[in-house]
Amino acid sequence: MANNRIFYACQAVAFAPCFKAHTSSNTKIAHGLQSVGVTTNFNLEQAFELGQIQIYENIEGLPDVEVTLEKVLDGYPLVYHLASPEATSPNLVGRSKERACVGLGIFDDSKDAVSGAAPVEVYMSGMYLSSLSYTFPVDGNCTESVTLVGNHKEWLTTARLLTSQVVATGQMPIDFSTGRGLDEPASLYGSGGIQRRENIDMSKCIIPRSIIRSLTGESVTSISESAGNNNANGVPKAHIQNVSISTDFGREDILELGRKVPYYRAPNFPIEVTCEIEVISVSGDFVEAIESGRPEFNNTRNEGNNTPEEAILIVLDDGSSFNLGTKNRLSSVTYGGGDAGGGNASTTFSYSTFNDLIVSHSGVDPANLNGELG
Amino acid sequence: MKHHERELFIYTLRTGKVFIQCEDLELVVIPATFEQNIRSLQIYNKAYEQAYAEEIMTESETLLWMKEKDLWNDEDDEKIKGLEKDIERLKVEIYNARNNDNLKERIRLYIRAGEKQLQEKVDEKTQYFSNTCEGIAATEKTFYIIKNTTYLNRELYNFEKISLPQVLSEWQNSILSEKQYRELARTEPWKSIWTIKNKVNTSLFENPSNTDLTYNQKNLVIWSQMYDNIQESLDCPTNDVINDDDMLDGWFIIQGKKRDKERAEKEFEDGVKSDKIKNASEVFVMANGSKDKDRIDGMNNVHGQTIKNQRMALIKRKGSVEQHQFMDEKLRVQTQATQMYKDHVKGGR
Repeated sequence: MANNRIFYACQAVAFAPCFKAHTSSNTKIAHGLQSVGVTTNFNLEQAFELGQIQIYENIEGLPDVEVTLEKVLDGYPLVYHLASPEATSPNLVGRSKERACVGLGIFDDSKDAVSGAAPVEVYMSGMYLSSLSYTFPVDGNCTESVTLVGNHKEWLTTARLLTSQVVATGQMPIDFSTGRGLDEPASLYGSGGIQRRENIDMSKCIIPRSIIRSLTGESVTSISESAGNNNANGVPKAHIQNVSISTDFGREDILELGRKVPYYRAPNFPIEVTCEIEVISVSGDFVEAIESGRPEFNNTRNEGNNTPEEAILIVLDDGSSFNLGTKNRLSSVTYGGGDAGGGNASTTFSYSTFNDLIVSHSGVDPANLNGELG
Repeated sequence: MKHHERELFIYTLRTGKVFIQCEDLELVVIPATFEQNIRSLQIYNKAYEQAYAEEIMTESETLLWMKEKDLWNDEDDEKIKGLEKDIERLKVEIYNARNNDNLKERIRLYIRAGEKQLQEKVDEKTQYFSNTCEGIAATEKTFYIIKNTTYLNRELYNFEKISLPQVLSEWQNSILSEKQYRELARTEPWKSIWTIKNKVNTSLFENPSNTDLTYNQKNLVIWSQMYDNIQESLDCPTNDVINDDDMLDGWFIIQGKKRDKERAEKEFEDGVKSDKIKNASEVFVMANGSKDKDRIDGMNNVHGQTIKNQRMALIKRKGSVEQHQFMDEKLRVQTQATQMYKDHVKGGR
């Protein structure tokens, strides 16, 4: 924990595409945000010379701006999508090329809800997506955490994104007679409001076969890999506790002669996507490690292996889905809990894949890209 | 208060009775029984409903009427809030100036002036209270209590020689001020009675059976317990502070703010999953209204608050400021450069 962090009460965050005039139609206010962290670092390089002990020149490098936003999943556009509003393909490659401008509005403290232009705005332009993380906990709200990186940050008294025109578009509804905010989750009716454990649509999810095997003891090859984790009576087969999906673009600056700012901050492909699934353990993990590979994979493309390639898809009631493709490999299994204190034994299955994560949100993605549902 | 005055207060207070000497009569008002209290509340409700039926205004309606007649306005409410805040700030200042006698006494004068102004404003706001449904009902309730608990020579008094309002006024005068409770709670003879109460199994109050503690008794116990808690606090202030109500109030405010800050920080730490946000140098927390904004602002330490103020002043002056133009960032870069230089020189040895 940083000892010298500064807390600001912020009341609205907006995104807009880069390299375009910011208009009220292309500037979108993020909903369901919980907190935002901004770290700015100034990098110095010192040059000395023979003949004097004093410094020859203090060379200031590029400032690094890193902003992390945490949001509950509530039916409104995801931060990942707001930060890549003009992506042309839904997968990581397409989204990673996008840049966005971000505005954090600090509004008048006498108001219950935002109205009019932000009196003070922190404006960051040319922000690249740097990392993503989604959590679906058994206890609490499903959340999204997105980190953006860039090199430009300004504090303004004349807002560029959270202008009165943008606020007046009704993106943050307000009762003008009382000044009360009327915003509520977009997925309020029929899809559970803020998404929680009961809003994971198990009938559409694809859970890795190795997890189903840990419960039923069936051979992996005999378990079908298709959507649906429900038994006939609607009770999930796998008693999943927590799911987390994360990836880091690991961006590297590509510089060029003639200018200080990077020509591009390229993602460090291949990008690893990891998924951790914690399951209540009913009979051990059934994951075997055999030198010569599991016999059941003989005469298949997984011959000689202990782990097969598996599909993972998580679908929520609010219309968002997280498709990790079909090439996920089990990278580790951890068995824990079940202590003398009466805690439940649980098994955490960690999967990894590369360059494959399609996050879709039907109907609300500003880029209008609907990924396949597996 | 002198010792003999305190003694009289304490022994009177321990009986739960109020002794009223008027003309040549010595009346005694005893605490109401539970049944009498219930009956008085029933009378309150009935009087309230009756007044309401007779189209007498309630307290909130009276306030609206005062606003209509320009006898009160929102600015007056703001003034009350402002005065309360000012007094709070001054009490913190007097605590901070506890080692500077001159400054301390100067601040005390401001506190008294502020309290006087606040009292005047509150009196102005509540000047029509007795004409409201609540005021009428409260009077009826108190009249019932006084009528049924005032004795002369062990017999209920008939209010012939001394009128009911006169007895009521004397009875109201027997209710002590907060300053008096505090003084009684921390000084003799009460202090030793309170300390030994469990050791010698003595009862603090000799109220008649079937009666509740009186308002004075409750407040004395609350303040006695409060002083015990202060003594047990890890940050217990010195006796000079404990014995000075203004400075002790300042200490309470500081401790309260400290606890609020810790609570808000804990809520933040528990609520935010991302370590990147927790470790960020600037954290933006979504605020729901002005109260929440105060809570979030309160999470800043003095250093953070100073930086925020400096930054906001610069932003307002210039209109557009880049991060590196902030004084704190300049200082940070300078410190970083100095550290790098030190490392370079040390590394060269």
